[in-house]
Amino acid sequence: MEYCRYIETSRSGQPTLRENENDILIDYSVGLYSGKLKQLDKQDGRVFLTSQRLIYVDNKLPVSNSIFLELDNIESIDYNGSFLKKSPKIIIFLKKRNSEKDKKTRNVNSLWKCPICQSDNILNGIKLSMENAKEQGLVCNICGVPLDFSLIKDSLTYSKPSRNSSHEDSICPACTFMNHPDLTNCEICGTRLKKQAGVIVSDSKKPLFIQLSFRRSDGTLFYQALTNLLKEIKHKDVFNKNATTINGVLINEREKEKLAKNSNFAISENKMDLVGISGLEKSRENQLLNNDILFNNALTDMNNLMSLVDKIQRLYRNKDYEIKVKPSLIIDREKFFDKDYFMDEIAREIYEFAILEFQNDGNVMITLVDLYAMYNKTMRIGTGLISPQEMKEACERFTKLGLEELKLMKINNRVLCLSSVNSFEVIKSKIIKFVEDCPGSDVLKINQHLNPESQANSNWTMGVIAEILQDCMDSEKLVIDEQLSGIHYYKNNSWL
Amino acid sequence: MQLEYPPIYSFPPLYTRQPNKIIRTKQIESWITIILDLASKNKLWTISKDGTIENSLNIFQNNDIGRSVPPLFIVEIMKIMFTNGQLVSKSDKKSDFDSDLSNEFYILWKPIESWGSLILEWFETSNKMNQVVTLYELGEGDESIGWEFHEMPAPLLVKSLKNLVSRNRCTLIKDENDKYIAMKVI
Repeated sequence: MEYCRYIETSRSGQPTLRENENDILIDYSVGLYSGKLKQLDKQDGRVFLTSQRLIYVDNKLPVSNSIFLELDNIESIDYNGSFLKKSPKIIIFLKKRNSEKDKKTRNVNSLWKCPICQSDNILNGIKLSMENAKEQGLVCNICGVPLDFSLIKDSLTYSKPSRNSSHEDSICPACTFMNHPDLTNCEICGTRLKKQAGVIVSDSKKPLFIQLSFRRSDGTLFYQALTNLLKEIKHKDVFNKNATTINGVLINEREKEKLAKNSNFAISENKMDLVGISGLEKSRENQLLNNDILFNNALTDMNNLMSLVDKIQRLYRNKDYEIKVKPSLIIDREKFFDKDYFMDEIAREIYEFAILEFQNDGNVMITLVDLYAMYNKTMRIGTGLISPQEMKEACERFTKLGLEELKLMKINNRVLCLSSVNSFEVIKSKIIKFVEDCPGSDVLKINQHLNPESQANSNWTMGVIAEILQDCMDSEKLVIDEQLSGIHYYKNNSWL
Repeated sequence: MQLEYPPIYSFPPLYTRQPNKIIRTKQIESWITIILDLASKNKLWTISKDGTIENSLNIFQNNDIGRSVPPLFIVEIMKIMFTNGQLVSKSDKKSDFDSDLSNEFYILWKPIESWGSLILEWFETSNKMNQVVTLYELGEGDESIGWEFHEMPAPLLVKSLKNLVSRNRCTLIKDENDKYIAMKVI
């Protein structure tokens, strides 16, 4: 499995996708084989097919045992149906790249000192040795004296090449960002960089393939999707190849010329056309065309300006605003052929969402009603809302999926809450402490105390607070003073 | 009338009916203690159905903190005092709380039996046994000054004495208008 890379997953066991990467298909209960060898620690997991990668997420140890394979490392694929006890398999043949050799020579620069003028000479890409020194016919750059290997061999040093040579490869073809040479995908837009695809192998004789074994489904759907995707990838190379404008600005010189030609075409006409009614019509048309061009230019400029404004605004607003990472996996009902799998995926997403959105000092507590509204509003628009029933079912699946941090619990025997293990007690003691300090506080005051405006990431909802207050009264911790202005809470010191 | 209240009297939640049953029981106990303490310390004998003590002071209204007990909760408290025997109806007829028409109650900070025993004790210590003593003598006479039942309203005295009658220690004597006027303790 050395040609697969480790992938980062969220706590709920969903892979973190790249920018511009989207998922296409998920299959369940898949085991991995490297060549013909069963990978013992990777026998039960989900396989995600995304627009760029094939991702395996282990069910038991999603954080340490999940790996991915770049799609453009795939040479070809084959499908093997099930036979008796053998489960159906997809065989993936990998591209080989045998670049160890040329890398070695290319990767070394030789530096020698001219024995006559003491100036340094650099020889790129060649390891200078006794044998090849003559063939090269080298002369000193400064004084032009031919090189004599025996004289320079003391001063000869080899060095790693400067970054220059690999820079070409690290420039993103889509957005021109210069990436670190070790990266395979653009850091900014996620486009695959123009490096040679394929995996590096030391032993090129062995056939190189991995197998996906489908334990539950027959894998044909996955096979088809993968085939189509590979075909597509072959045809498409650059991320926004056919785009002519970005933010309203022409990106291509050719486009500009074309536009200019269009306008010229209208203007350079025959002198004869200037006579008579047809001439008047022509000149009128010309005028309109010119206006069009003018307008176009104006709009382009405007677009430029607006995009700048946008950028500035974003910079200004985000000054101390921390962007929360959201799982970019799109869970679409239609992608699942089994409701059960869909619910599992939804459960993972809800889990992640609840932790990201509602965590206060490591504690999560949210009523299912609030969570339902928030989740549907933020995550499900465009991909189909889920029903309250589904939400509840999904939350009940947490333990089954090995997501232990959050639990579904019923407080006051009536309200379902999603909460981390001891958050209820934590928030309860917080509220009691506050009421003790400021007797006669109402819900609003308690809310303000728990969610101070200065603390943007603190969000105990009103529903939760109300339920906890109710619980405090039931457990004789607080007493109330009901007035027209509302209910005021006091610590129960007198009637214990 | 300047009266002294315990600190809990100015605790705002005292005036709201607590939703928790256990707390509420204790809250009502607090109310009963306040009323009985106040009555015994200041020799207050009557309370009306809406909580006015001796026709002048509504105990359930605290103007200092701007709180008052809602009427329904007052009824609840009074009912419990009534069933506890801490309130007794002014009229002679035996009745329950709801059908009581007199609208006023006597506050008994001691159970009626204790009052009877206390009176008996007075008779014994002041050598009045086997003598006829008038109600006036007992309640407002000089000889009973310093005793807790001094200044007790006559009907309430009669009620206490009736307890002694049932214990066969006392005979009540009526005047020509069929009104109790004197007694003899044996």
